[in-house]
Amino acid sequence: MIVVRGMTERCCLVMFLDAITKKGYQSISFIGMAKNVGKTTAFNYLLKECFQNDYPIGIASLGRDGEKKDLIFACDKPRIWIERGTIAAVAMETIIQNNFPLEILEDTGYSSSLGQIYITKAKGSGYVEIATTPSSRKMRHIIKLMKAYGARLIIVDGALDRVSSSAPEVTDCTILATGASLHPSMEQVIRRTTARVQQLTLPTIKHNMSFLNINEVIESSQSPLIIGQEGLVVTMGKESLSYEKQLFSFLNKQKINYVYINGAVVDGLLKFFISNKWSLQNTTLIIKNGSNILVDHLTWEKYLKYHGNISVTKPINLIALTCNSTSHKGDTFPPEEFAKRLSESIGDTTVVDVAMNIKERVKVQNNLKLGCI
Amino acid sequence: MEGFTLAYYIRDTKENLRKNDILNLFATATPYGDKIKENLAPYPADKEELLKQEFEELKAAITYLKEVPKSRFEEIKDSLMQIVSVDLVIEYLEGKAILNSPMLFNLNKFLFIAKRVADLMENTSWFSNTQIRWQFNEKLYKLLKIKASYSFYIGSYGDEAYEQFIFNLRKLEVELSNLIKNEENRLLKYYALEGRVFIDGALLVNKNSEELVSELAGSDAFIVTKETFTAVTFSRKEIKQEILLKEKIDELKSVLQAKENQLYENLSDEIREHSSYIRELTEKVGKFDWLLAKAVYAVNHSATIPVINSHEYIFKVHDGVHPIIKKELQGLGKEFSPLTIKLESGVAVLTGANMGGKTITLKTVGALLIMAQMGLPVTARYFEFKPADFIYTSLNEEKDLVGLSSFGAEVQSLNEVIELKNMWGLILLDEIANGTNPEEGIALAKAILNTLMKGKCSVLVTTHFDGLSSEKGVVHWQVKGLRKLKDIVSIGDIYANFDYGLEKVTAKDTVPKDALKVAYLMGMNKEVLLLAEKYLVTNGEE
Repeated sequence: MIVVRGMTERCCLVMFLDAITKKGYQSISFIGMAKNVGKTTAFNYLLKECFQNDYPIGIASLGRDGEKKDLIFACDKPRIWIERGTIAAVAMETIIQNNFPLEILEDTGYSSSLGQIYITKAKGSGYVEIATTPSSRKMRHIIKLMKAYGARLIIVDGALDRVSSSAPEVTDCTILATGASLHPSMEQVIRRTTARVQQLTLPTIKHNMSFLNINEVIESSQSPLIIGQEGLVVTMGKESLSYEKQLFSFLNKQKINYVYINGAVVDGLLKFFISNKWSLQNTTLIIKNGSNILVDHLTWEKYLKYHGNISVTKPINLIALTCNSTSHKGDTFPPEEFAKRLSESIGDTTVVDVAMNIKERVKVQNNLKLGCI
Repeated sequence: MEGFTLAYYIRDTKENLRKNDILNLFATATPYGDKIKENLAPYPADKEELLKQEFEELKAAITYLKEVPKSRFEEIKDSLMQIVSVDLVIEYLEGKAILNSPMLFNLNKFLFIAKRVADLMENTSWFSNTQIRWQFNEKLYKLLKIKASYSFYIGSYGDEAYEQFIFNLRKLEVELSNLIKNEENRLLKYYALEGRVFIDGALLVNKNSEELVSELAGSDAFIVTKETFTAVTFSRKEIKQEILLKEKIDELKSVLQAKENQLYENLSDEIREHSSYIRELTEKVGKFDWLLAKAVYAVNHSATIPVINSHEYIFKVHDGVHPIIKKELQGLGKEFSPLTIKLESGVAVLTGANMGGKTITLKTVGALLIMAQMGLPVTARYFEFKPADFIYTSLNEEKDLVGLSSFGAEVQSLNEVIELKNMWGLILLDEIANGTNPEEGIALAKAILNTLMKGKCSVLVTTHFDGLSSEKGVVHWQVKGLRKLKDIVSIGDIYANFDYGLEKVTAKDTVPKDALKVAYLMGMNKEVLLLAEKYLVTNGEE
């Protein structure tokens, strides 16, 4: 176990910007395990780093549109402080009412409840409300536009809902936020967070059958596939509920080498893998990326135990996990213990308590059974 | 019927001619092209000159399109796609309201792209036509400072004094930001917390660091703003200099707001002088876009420009197809048999077997005429017509008006037809008077057709009744239909052997009798068929 400095309040811990730019990442998304887990704090932390280093950035938000207030706890949605020169996706109404001028660079062609969304450049400094874009396709376009207008790092705030689970898909790297608000029990928070981290850091598929280029087959497919031992490729019907049936009837013919799911992975499918662990022990489950896994942590833990041969076509770069030991109700976990245990449970990801300035990194062998043969 | 000369009259209650579907085949790129498309109506006969001009312009557009290199065309199309609506801007300008920044951005972008399109079109023969071309309003572009980009920032329109003001404000803001930075760093250094960062002006400290907590709690520079079981939030107190600077900046910011409002007002006033130019430009861009969409369709689907015949009352189609039905058939893997027919004033009767495409013929003739009359290229090898005043359809599908029996509804619509008879137009009737007993039905149909025959209009009517086609003065068209009746043994053979073409019948032919054959092939009960055959021979008597 390597503990990277930290544990005391008297030394510097996090350098997000450094980590991001060293790897050449041009976009980053922030996603949270729950409300009030400190995602915005982490977000603002990175912003501050960028402003202090005069790093040209663009800011956008992915999620359901139309929330003026935090829907769950009815507190004000935090507005974001931006410095002069920052590029931001802002809705028409906000531009008109903003208390410092914004230069309008381009219209995105997308609208929100506050009107058309524009790419703007701050001509002063102050708080601004970032427009929320509800689709990953549109977000890709916005990121492209921001790059064209000179932003070297685009920071995407992923709101908490199903739409934003696609945030890691559109950015080069991702930071996940977790915290005491997720569950009153620290044990539970750690288990759930670990499951999510495992899902987000699944390995990329990198193997082949001698007579079939799996990557090519998958890339050219718009539908879920079953690839048999003898190279038989079958397209599955789109209804995810019937995947199990289709897999079962295929198993009667020949052994399955790969199952490719291009959409969401739900409980039923993983349970099928669990209950057919013997006949599917040499089968690799391939998915697009880990953010498509929508199962609870219990099913996930069980799945890893009994099958676990899973890999992705598009990996997510989860560069850090931030944790907030205080919940929105005021309950707290002991901060060091929380960070330490999270780090131990996850391994190989930096765990940061931004507010409390705690950083943990445990280098261990990846405890996943990797999906490589 | 005076009213009808003012506007073209279409009676197509059930959208049988598919006018809107047809219009959607023309892919416009700008909101202004869309607007023209949405409001497009057929030209009435007395606007023949305008229709002629429309076709001339379309011809020029097609010629241009055939010559232009593909890459250049793509560039033009891409640019058009970026045209944004400035309707709200125009509304504000004309209503003497002040434009806001998104509106001004839209205006900038609209003008910028319009100029780019004009530049791309420069020196082409099509664009040298003043009806199409738009002028570059140098004054307006200069006023809006549109040069290399269309981004909008109100500050670019301020004078020197404004710039000086902004400069001073920035200076103070930088001063404040440095002041805060220095103060934060000073505190971090003082308490040996280098490398930590203030978040929202506060530090969160773990209670385990008792020493630090008590140190900060005792400091004048911090106040405790929040405390939990494990941590304390220390917010930094603002220093005096900082407070003064903030006040000054706030003051300047409200002055700036007023200055900017003034800039918006002045700019709006100056632009207002050009509002008619802007409006005209939107119309021209729309027209350009619409012409291009029509030309693209014509080239891609080998549609032709209709020929206007001012002298003869005539609708003449060579190898015409209904663009929508053709597409739908293609989707089913079937071909649309092109249609050739010539219609004049008077009555033409169309006969043919069941499933012989008689109704489709009516729909196609109607659709092509509407297309021509709207100034569109038509999907035919050749189309000649005298611009009409109306088109009237009464197809079987629509004879279910609420509260009336099918016969009652038909009587009502036939009455309307008779009123139209002295105008030049096209009347399409499907299965006339078939809603009642055949004896009276034929009598009524004959009477109606004889009445219509005396008028100016052209009537195309389908029927199964024998007597109608042999009426004096009636032109008789027939679907060629199942030629080799003997060879046909299955339903598949019907489609393979069916000739959907039309032929003009001169002799006193009877209506083709292949309904029983078709019914047989469709698998009708044999007993019933035998009985029917028996009745046919004995002419209905036992």
